[in-house]
Amino acid sequence: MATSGTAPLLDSMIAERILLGFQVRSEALRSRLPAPWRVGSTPAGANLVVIFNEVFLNQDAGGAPASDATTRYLGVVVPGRRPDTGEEASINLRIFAANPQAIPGKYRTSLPAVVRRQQRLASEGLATTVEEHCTVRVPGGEEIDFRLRYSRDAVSHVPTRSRGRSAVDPAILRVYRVDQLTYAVRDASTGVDRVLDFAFRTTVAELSDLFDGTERLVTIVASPWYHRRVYSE
Amino acid sequence: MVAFLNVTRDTKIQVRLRASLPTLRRRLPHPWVVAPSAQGLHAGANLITVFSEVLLRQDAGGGRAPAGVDLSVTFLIPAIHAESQDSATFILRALTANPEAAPGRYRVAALASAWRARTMAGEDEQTTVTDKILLNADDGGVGLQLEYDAGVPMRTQWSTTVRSVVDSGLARTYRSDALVDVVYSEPAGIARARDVRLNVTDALMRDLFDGSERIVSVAVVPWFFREEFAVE
Repeated sequence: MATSGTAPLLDSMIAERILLGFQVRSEALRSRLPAPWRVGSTPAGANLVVIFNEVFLNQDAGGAPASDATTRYLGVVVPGRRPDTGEEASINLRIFAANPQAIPGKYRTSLPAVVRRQQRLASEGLATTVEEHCTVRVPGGEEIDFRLRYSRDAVSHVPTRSRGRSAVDPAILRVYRVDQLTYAVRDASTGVDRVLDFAFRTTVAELSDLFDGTERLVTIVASPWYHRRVYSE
Repeated sequence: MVAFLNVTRDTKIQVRLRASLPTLRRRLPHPWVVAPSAQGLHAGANLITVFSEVLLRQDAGGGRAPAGVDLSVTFLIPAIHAESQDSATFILRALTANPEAAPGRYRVAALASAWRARTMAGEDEQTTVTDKILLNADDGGVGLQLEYDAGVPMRTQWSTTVRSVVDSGLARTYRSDALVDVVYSEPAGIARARDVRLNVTDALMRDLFDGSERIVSVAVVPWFFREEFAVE
C-alpha cells in the first residue's frame, strides 16, 4: 500500500475536470462553514469554487475499481482557513453525484442528481476549440447548467498538494496529492481570458443566496489530464 | 545507469489489426520476426495503429520537450528477436502535426495536416463518444472514424522497447501507466464500438492496407502516462 509519509493511501481518482472560481458575498458563505473556519480565497481571488468532474476511474487503496468506479459529479467548495492553527483546506459544502454508490460520499455531503455532459473538441493542427455543456438536475427538478467554449493551446503541468474537509463534519480530512495538466481559460488576476462563450445559471434553492446576481466569475481552469491520490493525513 | 529522457501525458486510440504476414515480415530487419498477440483481447493482432493526442511532453528537467504537443498516428509491429528472444515493438511509420516531430527520433515520421472532431455525450454513468481523426501528408493519409459506448477502463502498467525499422539501433524503453477501455474485440466478443472505419492511403503503408487487413480490437485510452528512457 502506498503512503504519503506515514499516512496510508485511501483512494485515487483519474478524471477530467473543469473548475469555476467565483467571488460571491462572503456573508452568504460564513454561515456555511463550521466554527472556527473562516472564508479564504484562491490565488485568483475566488471564495467559492464549482468543480465538474468526469471520472474515468475511482480506485480503492488496493488499486481495485471502487464501487463508484465511473461517475460524473459537481462539487461546491469554499477555500477555508482556520485562524487558530493556520490550517488551510477546501471545505466541501455539497456534491451532486450521478452514481448512487457515491451517496452520501466521503464528505457526507453528496446528493443524487442526473448529471449530463456534452463535450465537443475540434482540432486543426495543434490548435483545439473545446465546447462544454454540463447540466445537473436534482430530484426536485432544480438545475445547475453551464456552457463554456474556449480555444486551447499549451497546457501546464501543475502538481499540487491540498487538504479537503467536510462542512458537515470538519473532522473528515482528505489530503490530496494531485498530478495534473491544467489550462487557464480565464484568470482575472493575470488578465488571461480565452473564453469564447460562457453561461452559468442555477435554480438550486440551497445555492440561491450564493448565486443571487452579485457573483463574479474570476477563474476557469480546465484539467484534461488529472490523477489524484488521497491520504488520511 | 539508464538515462531518463522525457515524460508524456496524452490520450490515445489503439486499433490492432491482422495484416498480411509476408508483408510484415519484409518490413522487419533480420533477425527480428513478427510476434502477434497469442491470446486475450488482441489475439492474432500483428499490426498496431495508434492515434495519439499529446497534451504535454516534458524533458528530463521538466521543461517542454520538442514536439511537446502533437496529434499523430503511428504504425507498429510487435516482434521478437529470433536468437535472443528479446521482444520489441517496431515503429514503421508516423504522421505528425508537429513539425518538430518529423522525421523524429525514429526517423520514420512525416509532417501532416491534422484534423479531429470528437463529441462526447454522457448522462449519469452512460457515455457515448464519436471521434473522427484525419492526418494527410504529401503521399496520402490516415483517417479513423468510430462511435463507442465508454465502459469501465482497466488501469494497466507495462514496459516495452520500441525500435525503428530504418535502424533497429534507434531504440527507447517506455514505462507506461494508462487507463485502457477495449471498446471492440473480435476475439473476446466485445462490441461497444460501432461504425469503425480506418482508412489508410499513405504511400508507405498501402501494401499493408490492401483490403485483406482485418480489425482485431479497438482500445480507447483516455488517460496515458509514459516515461521514456534510452536503451543501453
